[in-house]
Amino acid sequence: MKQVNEATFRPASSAAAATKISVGLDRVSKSFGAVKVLHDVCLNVAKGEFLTLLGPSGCGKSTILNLIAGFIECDGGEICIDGEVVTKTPTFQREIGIVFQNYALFPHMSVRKNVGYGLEMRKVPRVEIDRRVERALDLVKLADYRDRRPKELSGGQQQRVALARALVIEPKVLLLDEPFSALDKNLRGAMQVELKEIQRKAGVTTFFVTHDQGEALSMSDRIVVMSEGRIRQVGAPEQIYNRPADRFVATFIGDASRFSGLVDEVDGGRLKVMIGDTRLDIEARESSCSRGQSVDIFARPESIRIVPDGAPDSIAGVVRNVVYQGGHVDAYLDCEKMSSSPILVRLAAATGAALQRGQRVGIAIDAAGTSAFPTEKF
Amino acid sequence: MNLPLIGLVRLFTVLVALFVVAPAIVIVVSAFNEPAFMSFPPKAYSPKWFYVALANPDFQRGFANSVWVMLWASTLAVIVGTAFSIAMRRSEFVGKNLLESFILSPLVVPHFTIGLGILMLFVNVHMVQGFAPVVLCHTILVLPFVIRSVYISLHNLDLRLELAASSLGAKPRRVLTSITLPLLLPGIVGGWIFAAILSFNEFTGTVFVVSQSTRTLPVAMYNHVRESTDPAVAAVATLYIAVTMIVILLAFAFLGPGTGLNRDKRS
Repeated sequence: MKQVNEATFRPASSAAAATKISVGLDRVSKSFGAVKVLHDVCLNVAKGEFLTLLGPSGCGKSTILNLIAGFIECDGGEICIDGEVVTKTPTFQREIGIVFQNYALFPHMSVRKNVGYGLEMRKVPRVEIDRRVERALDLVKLADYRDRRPKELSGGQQQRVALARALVIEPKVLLLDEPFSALDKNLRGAMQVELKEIQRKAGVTTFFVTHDQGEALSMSDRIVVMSEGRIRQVGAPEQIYNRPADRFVATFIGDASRFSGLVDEVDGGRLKVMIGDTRLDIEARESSCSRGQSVDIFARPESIRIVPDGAPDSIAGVVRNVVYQGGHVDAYLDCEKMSSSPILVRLAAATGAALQRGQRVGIAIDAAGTSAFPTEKF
Repeated sequence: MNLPLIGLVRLFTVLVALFVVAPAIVIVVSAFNEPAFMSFPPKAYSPKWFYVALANPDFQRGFANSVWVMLWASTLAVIVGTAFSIAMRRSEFVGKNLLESFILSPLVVPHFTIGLGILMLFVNVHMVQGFAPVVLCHTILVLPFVIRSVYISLHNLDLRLELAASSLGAKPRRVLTSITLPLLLPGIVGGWIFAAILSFNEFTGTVFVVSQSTRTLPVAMYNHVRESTDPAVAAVATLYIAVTMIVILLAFAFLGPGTGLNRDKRS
């Protein structure tokens, strides 16, 4: 984890020399009044990368987007786009495309006028505007709607117009501000696939802001997990999910059940922990763990198995609740000695159906996908 | 509710409505009075006073002056009011709320105060003869109504539309002309129409600032009534009501529902 962080946190100014860097943030900070919303954020994004800024509301992810767009100015630090410092460049010279949550289509213009707006501002000849607008509308499959007004389109269609409008100017960076939150659930999935496809075809560096971890995990090349104005972890989705850098990331991304344990042995990058009498050999995330320290152990629902009661190396538990979820079953287990909160296990529907409420079972934990962090002191 | 009570309520409603429109009805009916003095109900009916009124040089002059002042005052008020509204929206300063509520409450300062103030101002610079004091007086009087109208349009304007335009490469001036102003147009046009109506009907402030040559129609009518009691002034008043009603209908067409600009108001 450590070396990944160092690589991504390289200051932008030194990395700007490398041609592959598309957007660089170097120790960027921002306050609104007395509230500091960004603390010296460093981030380098490669050309064509799909990067997601993920975090709870108020974590500063939208502020980063607004800073890259130039809607607000940072208090300290530098922002580079394609190796050029743009910290003081006004928005209209930055060559960025942006899709807002409500799409912000111009209500008094037709779809064609909306999409052509950026080209018109660039004084592109009329004939070429028409050609490029048609191509952009083909890309988002809306060529038949070119003469409609935005309010005559469905939410999904409006979003595709907004995307075409942003992409037609061939921006250096594409910024997406929670673009799916106004769509209903069925459409959302389809649009996610479509958007990713369009982004890949266009090959444009993309910043995607969301608080929906499902979207983040399924669409991103890399995810930046943020909280309280700081970057907590940068990594590929699998890395974020399976090897969270700290307890915030472990609990914010995906479901995780927490066990209380003790560090038995620290061995290089490995950590041997005891949950009751059960010994677990897991990968160390933080270097600060020492022998005898009490830790919280976070296990993914897929990493927990139900074994017969009293099986060797298992933790005793009682089935509290079984929730049918269609394709699978979520079982909640009580394990009072080792965990203060219910343990979530995800089972195949057939296996889950056999469980009875109140039944005594054994809990086995797989080391993969399991993390330990020092217990928080209050 | 039982039936007699519903009947009473209806009767009351009709009486209130009659009370409100009664003066207008009296004026309109007596405009058709044949004899050379106003009376109600008329002894004999004739449209002749309309011809007399239309041929009266004082009324003709007053009408032309009124239209001239109205066009200048409401156009100036729209320009100043729109600029002011946009500037207010984009800036934050101490006392903004105070200034806003002062500008938006025309009733705080009585009309005659503004008329008198402008008269004194222009006497000092020896310019009381021209249209300048009249136009200025009307501009100040109608400004709050224009600003109010534009404010409402601005309030409904999504800021992200302007941000999107500037991200697409539009310089601030282009954002203003291609996005902000077109979307404010219903508010601007509505404000202009209200300003025009108010200016056309203004008397209290105007009476201080007009000269012989810049006398507006309401002032000309007032002077006429002081010297004569013939129904010509009632005929002019009838025409006044008709014109104002047409303009108000136009205003509703612009400001009422179905303007096609009911935008997404999520913040």
